[in-house]
Amino acid sequence: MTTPLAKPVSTPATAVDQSLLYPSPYKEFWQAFSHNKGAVAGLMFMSLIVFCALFAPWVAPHNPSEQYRDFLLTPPVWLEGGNWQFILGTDELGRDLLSRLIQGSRLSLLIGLSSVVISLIPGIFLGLLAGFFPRILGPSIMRLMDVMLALPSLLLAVAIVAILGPGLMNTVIAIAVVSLPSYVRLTRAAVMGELNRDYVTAARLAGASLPRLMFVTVLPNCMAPLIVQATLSFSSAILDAAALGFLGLGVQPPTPEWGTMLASARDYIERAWWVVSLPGLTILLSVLAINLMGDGLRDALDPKLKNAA
Amino acid sequence: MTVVLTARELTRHYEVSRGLFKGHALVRALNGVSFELEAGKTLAVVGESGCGKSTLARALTLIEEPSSGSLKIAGQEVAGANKAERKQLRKDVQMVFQSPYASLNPRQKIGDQLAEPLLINTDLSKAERREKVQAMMQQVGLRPEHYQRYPHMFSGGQRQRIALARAMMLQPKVLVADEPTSALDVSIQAQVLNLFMDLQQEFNTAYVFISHNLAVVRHVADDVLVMYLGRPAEMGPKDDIYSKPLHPYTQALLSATPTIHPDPLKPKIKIAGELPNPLDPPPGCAFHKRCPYATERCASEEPAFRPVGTRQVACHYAEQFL
Repeated sequence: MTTPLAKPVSTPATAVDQSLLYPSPYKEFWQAFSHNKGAVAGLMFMSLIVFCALFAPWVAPHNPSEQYRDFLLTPPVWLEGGNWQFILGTDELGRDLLSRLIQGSRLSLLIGLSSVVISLIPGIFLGLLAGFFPRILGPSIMRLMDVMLALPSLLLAVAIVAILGPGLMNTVIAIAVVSLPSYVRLTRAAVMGELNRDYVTAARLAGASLPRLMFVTVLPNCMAPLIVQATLSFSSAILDAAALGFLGLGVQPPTPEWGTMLASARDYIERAWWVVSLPGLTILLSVLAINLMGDGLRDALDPKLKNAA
Repeated sequence: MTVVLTARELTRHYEVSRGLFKGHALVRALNGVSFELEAGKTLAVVGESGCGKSTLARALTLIEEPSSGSLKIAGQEVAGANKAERKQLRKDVQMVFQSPYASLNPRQKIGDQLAEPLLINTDLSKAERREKVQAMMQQVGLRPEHYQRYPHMFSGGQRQRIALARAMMLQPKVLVADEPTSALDVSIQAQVLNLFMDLQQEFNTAYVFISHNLAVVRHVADDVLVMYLGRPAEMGPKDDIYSKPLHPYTQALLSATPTIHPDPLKPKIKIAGELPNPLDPPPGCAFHKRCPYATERCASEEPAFRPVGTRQVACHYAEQFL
């Protein structure tokens, strides 16, 4: 142990606070997280995307809605006919693809992140309730979730948007509602598995209150499947938002958004593959990055996978 | 000596569904157990699997309400206690579980787990809690740096010592230990048992020690309660029971204990058959179908749990074995 103590003798015998000899929880977490190279790569890519999203007007080379009529469907710069003015080429209306991707990251990230958060938090809460009250409350929550699962997810989302009215926030809410049942089911299954274990009984014997049992004792042991599900549903949220936008119920066309860009450019896949492929690739890479991060997060939060200090 | 735990005719029945068209069946997992336990003493509860030992533990630790009977902890009646009284009762009874692998929260640091009872039940500051936890850790033979570690970094014996330390954090009056050494390596068992006894001396805690290992019981117990099918078969001071068991079931249990040098003059008592179906217990004495001395009376009349000499026995013919 290399703790540089200034006054080695005057400290009362070995009364050194043990926590000082250990890294803080954040540092410990970072050490475990940075062990996972894939997770760090994912984090770096996501930081780049988030940076682009935050500073889009300054980062983007062109106005994303500006139509350069002389440069319709210009290929990216490394292909024949490409030019440096439009690094990733232009779309069918002559708009710069790079600028649109950068500008689009704002909405796409917002949709993905907020719909995951809006469904994750109530999902965990309902799942905990369903697991802790298996007599009446639990089954009623689960039957409600079964009803939601029985409807095709996109149809349900369309119905919700139709009721709430089109718009970005309502799209997010619709997507969140649709993905709620999977979180509830996952949480409940994990909770039921953990509730019978002796450590929960021990916490009860110590006098732990119900909220404490739920959130401090049981929930941390149920997080692994939830993190995986959350990262996976991030991508499906983006694609669902695109589908809603395609039906005229989500983000409306002039506003750049990855899913909408992907959906509206399908007709050009034969002539100008980049118009479709580049937004698709961006979604793919962000999803991959988020999944890698999620894996790293799950492992870093699992003490069993950490090395002994 | 003060009596800290009094159980009177403690019973716990479970209703079991037998399918759609049959009615519910009643399992009498615990059927009229009474005893008294003094501070600093150990009562060992022995019996084969399914005899109600663990149900007794769950009833004593207030995890489950008994179906009937009364339970008094430190003079306070459990049934009908109000919220504040229940909170105090909670602190007075703690438990050590059988498997040290399942009884510690895998996501919580040892220090936090040990501090949890203090956090919930006392107003101590963070530093005071830490100090108490460190003192307790030292007492059970853990090093201070273990404070920040997670349960998976420990061996079974160490984990059981952590579980014992957690149970002792609030200095309970009664500690229920449900087969605390059966999941441990033989070489570790003695170490953990000695720790149990050291802590008992230190805190003057009463132990209810549940076990099916008679050698372990002989080591730790003051009194022994032998159970059969949810009923007490025999209860008395350890030495009396080990030297001269009165109930035929106790005799069979003791004779089944493996020894290094078996006594050729003492034939092994073999009991035939299985534990009867608790859904359909035999009439009369629960043990009569397996008892080598059973008579017609045993099949019809249930023996009372009555005092015989220094102990209590539930057998019609207990005097004949004296």
